[in-house]
Amino acid sequence: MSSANYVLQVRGICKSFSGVEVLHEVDFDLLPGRVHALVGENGAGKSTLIKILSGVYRADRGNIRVDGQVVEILTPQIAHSMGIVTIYQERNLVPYLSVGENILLGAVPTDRLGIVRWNELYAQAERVLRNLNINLDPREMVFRLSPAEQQAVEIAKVLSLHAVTGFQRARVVIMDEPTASLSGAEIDNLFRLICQLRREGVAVIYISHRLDEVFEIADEVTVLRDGRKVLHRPIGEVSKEQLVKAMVGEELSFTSIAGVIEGESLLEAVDISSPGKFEDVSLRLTRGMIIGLAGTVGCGRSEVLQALAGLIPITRGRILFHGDEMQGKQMVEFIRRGICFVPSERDRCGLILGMSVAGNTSLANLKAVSRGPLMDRMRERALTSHYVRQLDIQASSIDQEVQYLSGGNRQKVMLAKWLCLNPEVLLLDEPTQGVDVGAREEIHRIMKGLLDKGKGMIMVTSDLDELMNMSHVIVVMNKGRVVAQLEAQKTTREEVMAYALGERSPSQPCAA
Amino acid sequence: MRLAREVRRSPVPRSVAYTLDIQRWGIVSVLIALVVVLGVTSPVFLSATNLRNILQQVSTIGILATGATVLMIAGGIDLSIGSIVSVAGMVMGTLIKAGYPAELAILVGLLIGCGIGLINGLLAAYTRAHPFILTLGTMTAFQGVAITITEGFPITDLGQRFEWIGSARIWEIPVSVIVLIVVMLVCHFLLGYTRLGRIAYAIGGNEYTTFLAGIPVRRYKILFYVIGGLFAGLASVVLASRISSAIPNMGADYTLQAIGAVVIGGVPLTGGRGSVWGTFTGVLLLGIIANGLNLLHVEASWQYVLTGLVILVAVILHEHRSGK
Repeated sequence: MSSANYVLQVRGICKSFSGVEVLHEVDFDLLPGRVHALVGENGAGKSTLIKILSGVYRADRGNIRVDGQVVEILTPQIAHSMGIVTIYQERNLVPYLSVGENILLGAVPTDRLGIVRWNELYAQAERVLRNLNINLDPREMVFRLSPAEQQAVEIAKVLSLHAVTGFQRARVVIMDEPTASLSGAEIDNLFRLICQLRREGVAVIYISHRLDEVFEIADEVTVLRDGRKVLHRPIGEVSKEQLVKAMVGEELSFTSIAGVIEGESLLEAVDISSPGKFEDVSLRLTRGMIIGLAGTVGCGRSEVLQALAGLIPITRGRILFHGDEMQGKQMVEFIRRGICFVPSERDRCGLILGMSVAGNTSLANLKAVSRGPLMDRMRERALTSHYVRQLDIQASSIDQEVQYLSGGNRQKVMLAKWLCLNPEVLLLDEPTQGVDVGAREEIHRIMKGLLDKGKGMIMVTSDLDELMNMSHVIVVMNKGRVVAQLEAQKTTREEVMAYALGERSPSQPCAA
Repeated sequence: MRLAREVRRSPVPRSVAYTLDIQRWGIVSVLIALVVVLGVTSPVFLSATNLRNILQQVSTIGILATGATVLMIAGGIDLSIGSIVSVAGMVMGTLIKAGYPAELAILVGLLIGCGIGLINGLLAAYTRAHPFILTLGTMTAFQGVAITITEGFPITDLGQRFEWIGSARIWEIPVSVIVLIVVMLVCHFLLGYTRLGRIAYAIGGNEYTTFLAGIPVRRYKILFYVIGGLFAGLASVVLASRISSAIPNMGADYTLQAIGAVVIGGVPLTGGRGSVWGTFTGVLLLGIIANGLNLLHVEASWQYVLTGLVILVAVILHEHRSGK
């Protein structure tokens, strides 16, 4: 097969962000009329790669050829003009305009005075929709549509670009997790669209976490892991097990924490449900134990954590803390009793960026650093200094605003805020997301220190190393339900991933 | 351990560090330049009488703006403060004319401020609408209430006892100025030294984070609106006393000037930052511009234009700095 056949050829792409390499010597080829799936764990580099292909980021090294011609500079405009279009996870539609206006946005037909020719607009949009077999009224407002319908509009918009702007017709369509918010029937519809694109000779890059979809729709598959291409095969020559193995890699032996501890029960969830989020989840956390909640993004694991923190109401089931019923109690009461939720979106939910290290540290514990209604600055300084030392927070002073700290140090300030309440249970959502390796080790050290003091933790993490090494018990969720409860020391990454991706369903009743 | 040492010999308390903020110096240097120019061009400007005049003239805006500072640091905004001034003024005037003692009228005026603040606070805390729009609504509604009270007629001659605040002096300092200073000291203390003040900065800095830290954000938000309303009521007392009358739209002009002064003084509309002293520089800037233009016999219409320009420049400078 000569290289001239490829519509897109990527060779030796490297990309680093602030010194951290996220893509290393990645090759990727695309033939017209083929669906090429791109899979990998969170953080494997998929998003970075497609952002380079669509001109959002520039590669540090390597080259991209379109039709055998090297493309020196790729911007989103140039990519568009060459027929490379991307359908992102987040919708780019204008909700209060009609379907037709959205499809033809930027190329609305007007007369000489600049007045919109509505009939022509809707006729054009209708043609686009009919060609794609999308059954939608171009006069309907976009905000009234279901997520799946909106996605269909998005696809119609992207594919109609050539017809209305004189750009080259779409030849490469990049789809980033297109099925993330779709139901079964809607996915079938999307696949029908993709097959039609394939028949028309359009090349599709299909990114998904769901392996069964990959096997259903893709012609070939590339696996990225830690920024490297680790596998590329036609879909017929690879098994699911091989894919999972390639995604998770070899097991690294870190010092993992000790085996399961049978102790006093701290926090217990009995068949808790929250409609649309999760169903019938049961957990039992004892002293000195970490439960790892695993699953793909959107499986309901973060919601379970928030329910256990008193943030999301549950409609069924019971939450017991030291045997006391917590269901129906306010979040403040959860905190008062020592159940603390450490959110994942650190800057949005966990910190006040414009406030000092001291102000952030004492925020959840203001009563302890005040006398009557007055702040006691000395006590606040003492408290903060203690945690700055204990957690080794690097800051020029405790008066420095946290926005000037690095990600790892911000994370530690957020932890300090909760640690100074001396909690019994910490609910950690992605405790080491966006922190460097050193800070990650230190946070794990802090967590181990808490275990020694008999605290319990429930952790949501997308990091398999962290999950395997920092949990005693791994609870795997899929589509809002617990599908497996595994002992961390007796399971493998492959087994966890297989459950998380829905490749395996609970064969034996979950141990309680 | 490097940090621990620095903590111990931390050179300046935080409130001083705030005052020494670069952005503040921007406004302060504009103020100084203005004083120098006016001092040279107008022989009267630097006289003690004129300086006293300036302070007396800014006392109403100053009290309003100081209350608004607390609220806006907490991320709120109240456009109805001018209407509070009008309603409280009209009710106080009516009570005095009906023969009630001035002290009772003043108490009722302050309670009206708190009451309208409470309404705004409840709306801001329990609806999803933006407080800017909500208080635009209450601003209009209560301006209407103020007019209804006397069907639009002003109430004049409120009696010596009531006028004392606006006209008397203690050691040559007008009582209204003393009220302003006390209000500023109280709010400075509240913001810098109390838990309530810390919570104001926290809510303005990141409301959701503050909520997750177990702080009942709604209750505090309501309280900050009540505080803003209380000081608007007090501003009404000072204003009505100084002019010895109550006029149905007496507060209308003050709303945007007071909020303008707060913004010039460095409180972003999103909250989380700012200080009473910053607001005071904003208040002084507006007051000195008005006074200076008067002395230089610039027409009133042009005063509006120039005041508007100053607010624009200050806000743009502020955004520019915070953008970096």
